[in-house]
Order: sequence, then C-alpha cells, then structure tokens
Amino acid sequence: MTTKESSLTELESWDIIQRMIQEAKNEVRDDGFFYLLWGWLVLVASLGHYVLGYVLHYPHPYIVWLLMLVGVIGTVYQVNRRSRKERVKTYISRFMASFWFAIFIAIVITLIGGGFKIGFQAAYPILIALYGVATFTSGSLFRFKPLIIGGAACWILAVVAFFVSFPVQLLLMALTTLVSYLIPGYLLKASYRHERV
Amino acid sequence: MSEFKSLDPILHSQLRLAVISLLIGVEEAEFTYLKEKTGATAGNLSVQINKLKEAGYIEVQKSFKDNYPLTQCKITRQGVNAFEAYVHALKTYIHAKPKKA
Repeated sequence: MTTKESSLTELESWDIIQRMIQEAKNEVRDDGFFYLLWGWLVLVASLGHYVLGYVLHYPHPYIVWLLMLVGVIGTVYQVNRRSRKERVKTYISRFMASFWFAIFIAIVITLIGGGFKIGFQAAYPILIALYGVATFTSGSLFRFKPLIIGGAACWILAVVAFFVSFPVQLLLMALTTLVSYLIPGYLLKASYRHERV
Repeated sequence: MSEFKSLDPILHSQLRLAVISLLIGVEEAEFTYLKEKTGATAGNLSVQINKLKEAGYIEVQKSFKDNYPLTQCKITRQGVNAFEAYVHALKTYIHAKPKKA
C-alpha cells in the first residue's frame, strides 16, 4: 500500500475502510482450544469418578479430579504463549479474559463451599449453572449459536441436577461438558479453520 | 455544492485511512500487525503513523518485547471523531454520485 492521496476516489476510500475493518474483525475469532481442553478433562474426570466410585467401588474416586491441574497448567501455558504472540489487542479479548477468570474464581468458591460446607451434591448444580453462564455469554458475544444452545442446555441440566443423586449428577456433568464445551468447541475449531483457509 | 463536507486531508490518504480503519475496531495494535495488514513498507508506514500521531488521531507507545523494540498504536477519541466525520462525509459523496457497475 502506498500513500496515494489526491487521486483517491470516494469508492476507493470506502473499499479500504471495509477491507481493513474486516481484517481487524478476524482477530476476535476463537479456535475452540480452551473449550476442548476443559471439555475433555471434565468429561473424563466426571465419568472416571462415576466408574471408579459406583462401578468399581474404589474408596477414593475423587482422585480423578486431579486432572484439573493439567487444565490449569495447560491454560496458563497457552495464555502466556498466545499473549506473547498477540500483536493486536481487542476489547472483546480483554473482556473475555476477565470474564472467564471471574467464572473460574466463582467455580473455585463453589468447590470450596461444596467441599467444606454444603457438600458436593449441593454444589454441582451451581457449577453446571456457572458453565451455562460462561458459554451462553461467550456464544452471545461471538454470535455463535452452538455455544448459546449449549449454555441454555446447561441451565436446564442444572435444574435437573438439584433433584437427582450425586452419581447421576456426575453423569449430568459429563453431559454438560459434551453439550456446552465439546460440541461447540469442535464446531468453533472447524469454523476457525474454515475462516483461516 | 455546500451539502458536501470536505474530506479530512489527514485521513484522505490510502495508508493513513487503512491504519485508522484497522485501529477503529481494536484496542491497540503493534506496528508489525499494521505493516502486515496494510502491506506497506516499514519506512512509509512509520512516516504515516507519525502524521496521524501529530494530528492527535492516534497514540504511539514505544517499548521492548523479548529484547526487540515494540511500537504500539491506539486510536484516540479525536481519531474516532475524525474517522466518523470522514465516513459521514464520504457517504454524502457516494450517495450523490451515480453508482458505477
């Protein structure tokens, strides 16, 4: 691009504006990585907890939740790597980072309450509802329907979770990750690749 | 022809308009990003960024990232207003002219 000035027509100006705004718009696309990372980890952990505790009757089935450490390490590593490579900051990316951090804190608070005060059976529906808040809001922001539907499905599953036993809650948690993280995550990944080609 | 607003000469330039159009949708962008998206040479882009900065349309911050110099650009409120006024003026011109096929 040169510094053409006097001969720049109005239509050429209009074309530059449109092209550049479109270029910048592509910066806020999500590749679905974090949905897939956490989706698989929570799916494996909740099904693992169910199988270990209620099929194999292992005395410490909750040990599978140590997998979440892999999620935390993976997330910190990826966030650092991406922010080092990031050459443009958008308002949406800053909002998303703060928003997901706030959701993470709310999840930790709920887990503390579940572990030390109200019991995990009371905490799980709240966790599922929080997943719904996160995915629904992200989906609305990106206008990505699978996330919006996944988020809304979480809220229905959260209500159901209040009325079932803990082992069934574990299965509901697995279903939650499937509908709100994994399916939208793979669809995001596919549309991200499609857009970048 | 008094209905036509004059086009801001600072923005009525291919590269400066491209830079402002990129910055309008983001919080801030690095020099290398602007260079890649506009396809301009580093020297030319540098000169045009300085012109936008002198006009008060953008803020430029220079620092270091992994031991390399880093230049970050951010549109100012004045820049946003100028861009909006430019787009508005452009619309009056385009609507007044018969569309080409």
